[in-house]
Amino acid sequence: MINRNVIFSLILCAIMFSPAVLFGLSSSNVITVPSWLSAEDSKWLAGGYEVSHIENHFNLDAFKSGELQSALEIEVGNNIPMKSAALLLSASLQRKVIEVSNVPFGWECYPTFYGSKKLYIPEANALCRMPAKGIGSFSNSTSSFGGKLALFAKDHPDVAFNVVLADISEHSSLNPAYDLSSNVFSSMQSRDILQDTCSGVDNVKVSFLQLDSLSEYYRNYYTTDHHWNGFGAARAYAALTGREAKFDSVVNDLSSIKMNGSSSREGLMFLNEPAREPRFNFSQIEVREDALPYVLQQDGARKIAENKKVAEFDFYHGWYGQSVPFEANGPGEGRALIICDSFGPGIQWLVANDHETTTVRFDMHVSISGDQKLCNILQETQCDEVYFVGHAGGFAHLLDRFPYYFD
Amino acid sequence: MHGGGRKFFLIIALSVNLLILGFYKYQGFLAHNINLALGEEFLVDLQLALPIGISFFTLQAITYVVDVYRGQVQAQKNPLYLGMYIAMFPQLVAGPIVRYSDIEYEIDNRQVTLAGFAQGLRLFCIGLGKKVLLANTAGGLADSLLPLEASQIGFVGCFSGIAAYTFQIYFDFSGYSDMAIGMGKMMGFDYPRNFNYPYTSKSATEFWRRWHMSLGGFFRDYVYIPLGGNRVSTSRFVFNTMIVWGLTGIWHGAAWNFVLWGLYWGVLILLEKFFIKRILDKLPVAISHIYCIVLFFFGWLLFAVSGLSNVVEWTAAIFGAYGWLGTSTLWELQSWSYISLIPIFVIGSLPWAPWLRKKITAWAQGEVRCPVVSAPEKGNTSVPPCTIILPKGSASLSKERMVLAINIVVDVALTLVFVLSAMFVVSSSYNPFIYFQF
Repeated sequence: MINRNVIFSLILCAIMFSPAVLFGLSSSNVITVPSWLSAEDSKWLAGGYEVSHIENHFNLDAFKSGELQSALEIEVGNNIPMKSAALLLSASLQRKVIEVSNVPFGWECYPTFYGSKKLYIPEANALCRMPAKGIGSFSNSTSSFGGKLALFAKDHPDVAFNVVLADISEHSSLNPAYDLSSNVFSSMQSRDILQDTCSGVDNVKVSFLQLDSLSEYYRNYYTTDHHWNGFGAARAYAALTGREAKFDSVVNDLSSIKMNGSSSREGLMFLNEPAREPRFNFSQIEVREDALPYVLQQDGARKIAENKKVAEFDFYHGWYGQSVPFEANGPGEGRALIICDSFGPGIQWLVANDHETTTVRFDMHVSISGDQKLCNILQETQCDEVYFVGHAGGFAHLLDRFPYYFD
Repeated sequence: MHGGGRKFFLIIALSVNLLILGFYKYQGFLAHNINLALGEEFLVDLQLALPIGISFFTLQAITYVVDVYRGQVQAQKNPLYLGMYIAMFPQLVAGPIVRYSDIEYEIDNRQVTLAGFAQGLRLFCIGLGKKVLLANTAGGLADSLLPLEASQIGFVGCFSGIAAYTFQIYFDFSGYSDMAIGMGKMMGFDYPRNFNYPYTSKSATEFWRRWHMSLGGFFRDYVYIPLGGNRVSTSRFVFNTMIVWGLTGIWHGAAWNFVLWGLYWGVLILLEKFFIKRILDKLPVAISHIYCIVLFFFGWLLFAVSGLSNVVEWTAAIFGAYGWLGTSTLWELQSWSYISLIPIFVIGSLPWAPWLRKKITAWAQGEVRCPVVSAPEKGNTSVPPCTIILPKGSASLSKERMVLAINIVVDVALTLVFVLSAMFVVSSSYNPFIYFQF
């Protein structure tokens, strides 16, 4: 009995105090903690981390306002050992329970853990998002966007306006959860509203790549990320322009990469999706920025494969580029302006390849807002073709974030 | 000190404690209701932050002051020891409400032993597992459904939301109590038990002898009995009972639905005393259990749903006013995803541990039959948690070894519970960036 009490107490105390001991030893450089044993891997899993700046919060004001406590929480959170393993394992356990609960119901998809906004589709071995709710507000907002675009386009008859609607899973009617949910707004409904509001305006074209099945959807969209892949972007561009994007094969050098993109990270479920992208010819595109995405780089496939964390957790943006504004010169004709959200990078090089100059702005991105006006942007860029690229939610909420955009 | 002087200081002490509690906890509630009644902003709602544990340590301070006045305990001359009793961290935030008499002897004479430390650690692991693995999981469903309109989620949503809350509040509260008692045990204190498998009750009266026992004991000894208890006329007895239950309700929170909840239990206890108990005693035990389940189910509906109009809507939804699903679909309610946890929640609410311990002990000692016992009331001193102890010489060597193996398996299981709980705590704070920030 005594031995049992001693052993039990020692083991529990060791478990309780080991994080603090590890932190102390690694902070004082006594030992080097491997990334899996520290919180390092979890930072990649989360896609980033907050810096606490705790030293700035050791004062009474920060204590009274709660900033000190928040900073302490962040600092502790950044140093929890084996955090990534803990996150993935607890999600996995919860998912098993949910899977068992699903047996009598046989739903086609279920959350990746309790409270997760990501769903797992066993049939497709893919992840998707919980359908977005609020058909009324989405419809009204999209109608407002379409109406204002139509009026704006009429005032600018010499500029062609193209609306490219991406079928993000939270708005996709191919999402198995779409039919299982109420009050949901689909990409097709968005397309219909945009087409209706812009009908009769010759210089506005609304395009939506309609896919027929779940398997086809996941040939054109990632199973572990919410974006379209190169095939999906190319087909969407072809649906808009009537021109097939030029690629003749898959980039085989990417086959060693097993990606776990945004859906995997948020859903805490690794599917190790093999990277598969078309081999485009973007050799004639010149970009006026320092960091070229791997799709434009010589030997980019090998380079991205060597950048293991980016290849695994941020493949789409690593390959096609981050959501940052830039300008590019291409072999084509005309001046293009792309106004997009994170779906832009997948299609921007196809546009750039067909134009002389291409300017890319991420005004459709959920994190961007301002008081810019499109008329001023058109004047600055002197473009003759505008591409709005995004998903249904981006179109619905653009005017919430840029209230003067079409003034 | 003369009786009059002692009484004076008692009144002062009680007034100060209750005024502080009243000010911080009920100022906003009073301001809101007085302003509503007058139709103008007569009192400013100061939006005060509630000091941590004020509801608990105020009652503990009251028990000390009253027990000293009654001569049941000696006044503590050392302000540090008195402060330690009132602000003892294990039970400060969520109880149990420890009376000074419970730990008076232990303040100066407690012994921190390896056995006590290990026992406390085991109980702490049980409490942590109840809170993190069970309560937080059930709470996920409750938190997703309780804020919604009843018309939106219908019978299934409302029923599963309250059912989830029923399990959440039990595992949450009893888990915290177990952790507090366990931590106290690690430091040599024997705190009283706070929950005795209340969901096995067969009546409202029994429920409140098993639920939050330290609170029930407080109101019995410091409010009900001083008011005269049941040694008064029937009308006065009813009055005393309703006062106690009204105070019990408002103690839980500064809102009318808590008052309603308290009065609900008061009415039920009175009805049982005068009418229903006679009927219950004649019914099969299973029926009595179902009767009690219905009582505490609707009790938690009153407790959990904020706003009296919402309480009416939710009650109507339970009786089918908004159909099975309201305007939602079964899938999106997500109640189905918790179905496989129901057996775990139910078993976790039952006294399987003391039953199993008694069974194994009886088997080891060669007893053919053993009575079912409920858990001990105070401090688990007589029955160490998660440990089967055989009296010396009461079992054969092989059975002793088997019992040792069982005890070791239990320790391994508790270690696993601790590790799993730590993992779940870590994952509850996970808030990933959608887009890479590196």
